[in-house]
Amino acid sequence: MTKFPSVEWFQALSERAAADKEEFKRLGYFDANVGVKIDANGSGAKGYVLEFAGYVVRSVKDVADPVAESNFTIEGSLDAWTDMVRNIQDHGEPDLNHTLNRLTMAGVPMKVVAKDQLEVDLFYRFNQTLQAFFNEAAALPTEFAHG
Amino acid sequence: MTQAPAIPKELLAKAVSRGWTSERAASDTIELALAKGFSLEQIGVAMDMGLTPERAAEYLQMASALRAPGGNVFNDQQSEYIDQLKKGRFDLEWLNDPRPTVGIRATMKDPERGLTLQDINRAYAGVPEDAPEYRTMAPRGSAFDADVPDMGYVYNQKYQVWSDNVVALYEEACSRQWSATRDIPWGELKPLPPDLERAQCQIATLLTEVEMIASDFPAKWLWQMNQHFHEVKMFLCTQAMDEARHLEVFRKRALANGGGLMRCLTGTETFLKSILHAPTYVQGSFLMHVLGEGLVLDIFRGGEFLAKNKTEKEIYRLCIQDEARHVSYGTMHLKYFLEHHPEREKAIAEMHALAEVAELGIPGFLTNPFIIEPLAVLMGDGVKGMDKGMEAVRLVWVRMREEYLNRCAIAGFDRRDLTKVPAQAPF
Repeated sequence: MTKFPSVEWFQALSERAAADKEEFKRLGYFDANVGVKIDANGSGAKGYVLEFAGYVVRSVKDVADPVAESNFTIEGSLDAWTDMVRNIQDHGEPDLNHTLNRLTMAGVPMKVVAKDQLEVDLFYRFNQTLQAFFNEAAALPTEFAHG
Repeated sequence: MTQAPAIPKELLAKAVSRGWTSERAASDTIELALAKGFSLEQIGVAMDMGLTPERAAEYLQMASALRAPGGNVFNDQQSEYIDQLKKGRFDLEWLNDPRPTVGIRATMKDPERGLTLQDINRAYAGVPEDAPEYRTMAPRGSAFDADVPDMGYVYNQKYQVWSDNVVALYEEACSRQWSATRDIPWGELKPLPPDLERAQCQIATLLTEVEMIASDFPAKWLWQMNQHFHEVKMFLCTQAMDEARHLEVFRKRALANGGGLMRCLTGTETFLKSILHAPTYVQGSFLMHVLGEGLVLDIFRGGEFLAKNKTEKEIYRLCIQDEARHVSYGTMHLKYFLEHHPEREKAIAEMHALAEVAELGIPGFLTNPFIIEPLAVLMGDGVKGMDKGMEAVRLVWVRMREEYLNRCAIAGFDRRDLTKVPAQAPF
């Protein structure tokens, strides 16, 4: 069991994606630093940056300010992130209400933040790969930080 | 030697009616064609097919005799070369490259990805910084004859077509192609309640209608761009393919689940016509890449948001990716155009004049009942929930306006204090 959220959890997700490389090759390469910001329900925020390069995630690190170190950052509360991951695990993939685009489009419960629109547009340009990456959580034994 | 046939007066009259300058000039060209062995019928057909006297003269200059004595089809140069070959003598002039690139070995930065345009551009004749001297299809960096024909390119300056992200976008586009037949889980499409199916199909009809403009538009301008900037032309080819696929996938969606193709409107067609017939490439690119595709990108996002099954989710998500590439090119092309235009202030003023009119398309788009009511039905999970569904339309309004203004700002074309588009939906 890997604790969510943590560097180890995102690394484990990256390893699963790397093992599924043919699928990621089919979707096309993805070059961007993706920030993840998880507001831990009043007890501060956790931040991560995932370096997507080609068909794999080259590195994962925890950072204080993911927005400053990424092309774009997906922000949400710990509840929202947990709900998304649980939903993927419950259904083997996200249901209609838990895709990244669905969760971020209205700005709630998640949002995409970047220094400019061109960087936000990267979230759109690589959306299918990003979704496939998080879908790898379906079979990743996870210990949730709460709930 | 047989006598050349007399030129019928009807053929001379046809030549003049097709824009050949005079009967005298036409007669000279026709006589030359007859001397080369072409028949009167062939000459007449060529005129009907639009052959201009200039093109005819050029062609006849180069053409071998069509019916030379003894059935010989070779010109003097070809005959001489054949004689040399028979003697075992090769020309080998093709090895005599005044600008040799022998020894160039482009290397892959990432072998798993393959040999990219960026890789070869790093190795030789990379991103062009100059305006090409010639208007030729000869590859950038190659040696070519000094008397190559002028292809008639109109856009010969880098600022007229370039964007600094276009090389990467081409590779990205090639890497992320998909099939509307194979990659969409059509089997997951299940019957929907009639109001939801009709709403989805009205949106699918609109998208089937509008997407192909972004194939027609680049196709119209491609041949006018100097091949020196081949990366731009290649990217626009990927865009044409992307949009063909979008037409395909939305037509398939409309016809795959009982709703069918629905209604297209004059207003939409008028906007499409303004793109297709824009007087310059940058004007059309702004209308299409920045404004039009920016709006459609948000419709795609909304479509994914509102999708009622996995099939629609996949359709919209894959289209989002394609559309965002086109918008990114357009944004950066506008930036490059304005930053490098020799009369920058004048160019900016002209684009503002265009934008002021074009932006009216945003409220036009979002007060169109054929667009916003189907969205409201989908958001409200049926006709009964339309009032609630209008919340999504209000959200889309704000987002479309904001993202458009953000992209203009990136291009150095700040419209935030100038636009007349209301910040919030007026309903």
